[in-house]
Amino acid sequence: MDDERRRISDALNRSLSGLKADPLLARRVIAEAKGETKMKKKITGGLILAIILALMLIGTAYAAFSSQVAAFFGANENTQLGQWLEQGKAAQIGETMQLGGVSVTLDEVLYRNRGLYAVGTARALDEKDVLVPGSLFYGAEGFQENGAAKELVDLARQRGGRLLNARCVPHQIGVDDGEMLPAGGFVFSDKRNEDGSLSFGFQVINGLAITEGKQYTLELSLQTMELTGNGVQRNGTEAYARKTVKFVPRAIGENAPAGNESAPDVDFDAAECTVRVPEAYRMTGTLPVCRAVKPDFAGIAATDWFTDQPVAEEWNLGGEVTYITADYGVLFASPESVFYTEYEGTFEEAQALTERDPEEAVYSQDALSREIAELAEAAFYRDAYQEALFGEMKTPHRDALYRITKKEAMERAEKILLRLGMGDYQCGFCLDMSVDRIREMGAAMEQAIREGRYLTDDDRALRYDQAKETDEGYFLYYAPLGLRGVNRGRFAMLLYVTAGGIPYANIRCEYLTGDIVEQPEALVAPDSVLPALARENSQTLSPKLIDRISGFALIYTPARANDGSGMLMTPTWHVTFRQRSSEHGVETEGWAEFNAVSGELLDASFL
Amino acid sequence: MDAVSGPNRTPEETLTDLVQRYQTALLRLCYAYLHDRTMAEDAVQETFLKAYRGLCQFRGEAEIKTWLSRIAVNTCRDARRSAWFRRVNRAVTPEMLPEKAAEGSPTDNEITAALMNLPIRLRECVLLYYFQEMNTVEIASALGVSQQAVSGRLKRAKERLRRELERSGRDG
Repeated sequence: MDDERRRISDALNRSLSGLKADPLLARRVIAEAKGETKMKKKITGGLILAIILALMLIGTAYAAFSSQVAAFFGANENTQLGQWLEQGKAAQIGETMQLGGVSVTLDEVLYRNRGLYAVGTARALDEKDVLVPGSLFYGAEGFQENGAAKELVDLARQRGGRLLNARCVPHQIGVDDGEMLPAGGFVFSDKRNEDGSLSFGFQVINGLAITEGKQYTLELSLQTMELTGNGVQRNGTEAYARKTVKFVPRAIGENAPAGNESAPDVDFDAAECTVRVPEAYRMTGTLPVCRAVKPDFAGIAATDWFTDQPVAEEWNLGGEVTYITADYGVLFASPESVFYTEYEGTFEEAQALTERDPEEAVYSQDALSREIAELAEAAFYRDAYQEALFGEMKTPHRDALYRITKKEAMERAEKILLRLGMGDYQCGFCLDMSVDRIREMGAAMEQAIREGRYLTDDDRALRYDQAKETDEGYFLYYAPLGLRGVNRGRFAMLLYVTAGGIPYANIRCEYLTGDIVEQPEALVAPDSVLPALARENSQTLSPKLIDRISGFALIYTPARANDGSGMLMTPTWHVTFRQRSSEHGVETEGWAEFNAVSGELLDASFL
Repeated sequence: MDAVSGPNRTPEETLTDLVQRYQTALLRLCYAYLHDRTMAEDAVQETFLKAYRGLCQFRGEAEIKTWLSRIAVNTCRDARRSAWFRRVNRAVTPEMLPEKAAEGSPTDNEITAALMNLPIRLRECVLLYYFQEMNTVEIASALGVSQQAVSGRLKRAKERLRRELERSGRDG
């Protein structure tokens, strides 16, 4: 067995070493098999609870819940989630779409704590067709579980019908007729019912898009397809549709949304906190509210910001652009992001490989510079786990590396920020990657991979011991006030700057700050948001234990305009705190962002 | 290949030998699958009972470990399908793991908890790969899927484990 498997196998066995063999097991099994005794299943607390629950639910599977959404998630995820959702607000929808031989109805949508949870039903229009839940197949692999899938395949064959799948997910969300914003990441699940229909549910949590409001607008995206007998999509059968629904959720029965029950106070010691504010706030005690402007990075990003190599190929697709340079550097730019990275070989070699073996070409070898930047990025994401990864680094810091100084690296980074309209971003992290540090960190990374402490599916050998002086550079992070995690990392720049260029860049900025819209006389005091922090945290499904406040910072983040006129960049208190998931959990850092004009929660890591 | 039965061994002797050799590994496998100690013990009992009853039909088409693992996984799958299983929150945190008898580190528990919280189809493959030290051919046989499916699931599981372990101390 290779080292990685050995390490993980040993870790598992050590963790579960408390599970011991039963010395009488063989005797019991033999006695049972011979009919001498009946093996008793042990009664657990969970089984007793389940029996009680089953008795309570006689007659209907969902009698324990008033809301279909709560019942669905309570049955398919866990009871605690269902009970938590019952304290939200829900609306019956009943809107139906038909596409690709399937009728899909959105039954109910529920709002709770910056999240929307929805359930619906899909039915085949032709009774010969058989609906297949998404859990039974996966992409090009097709059907994953032969038992259940085989039954459906046989059923379709008997009926002379098709195997169909349908998926209804959130696309954009609006509140009180305000700006429609992308829903972002969501979780979708479905299951087959006895009558052949599919029940589905999705959940989406998004502090920016899903705010407290009266009326919600939800744009749905529906996809249907036919499957082959192997569970792979049949070519040419995919169909898409969109539908918008509006609804006003109301409290579910007598369960009013949990509101002002007392939450434990958050520990706050002003002397232990950092408070960081822009100079303008220091001088005037306030900051203006501005228009949020969508950037157009795809229109301005250029390869000569990063490399002196010429462009070999350019692709444009729906507002996004990709440039590939002669030495196989790839620059991708969308309106709000810029990525640049380099690969081994040249553009011509990559083309030849693609023609010869498209599968192999997908896995182009990262250039060593990219591996070095990833090493530095691993150190940037410092926390208990990453500190265990590298330990205390022994290599001394240097303000000057091979043909580049820290000052020069920062100047080059700030030049790019100015070009992008992000000139007010500040440096929050700088790591000098000398040859010594590259090798020190690389050795630690290799050991961590061998020991199973760092998992990677990249089997290629690491090459840090091949780093030369020309690979040295500075890894830099820029963000508003240099903070981490501003609006979930959507406002940040990561760069690796060397004497030869910038072989790695990762830049995101959802909105730029535009013209002034409003000039508040004053902003709320930073500590005045702490009761709201405690309350909002207490209302989540799994509240964190907030140990203490680390600091406050005054930045700009996007929020919908109340008058429906679009998006604003509003002064925001970004609060950081130390938290644990449970009494014995590891302490980590959390954050929350509050509108500094109204004191309202905008977003938080605990949502 | 292990001798399952033969002219010089009674089924009872064979079973006793199998229990002695494989009980602990199967118990840990079932626990990692079901997240519940008592259910895992039941599943192991059930596994050996089925094995005992099926000894005469075992023709040595597969390694005994593969055969037993297949029975154990199917037994665990049946347990998961029961309605009452789904009513309980089965998410695992490192603090919930059984008290260790051997020396271990917090990282062991982090890895184990992350593995136990993988989606079931990925978890099955990972448990058989790391716990039972089976290769992809054996895993494919045990689970009744293709070897390609096993490879794909292992790859996705490793990627997911890596992300979970990187995120375990970092929110937002």
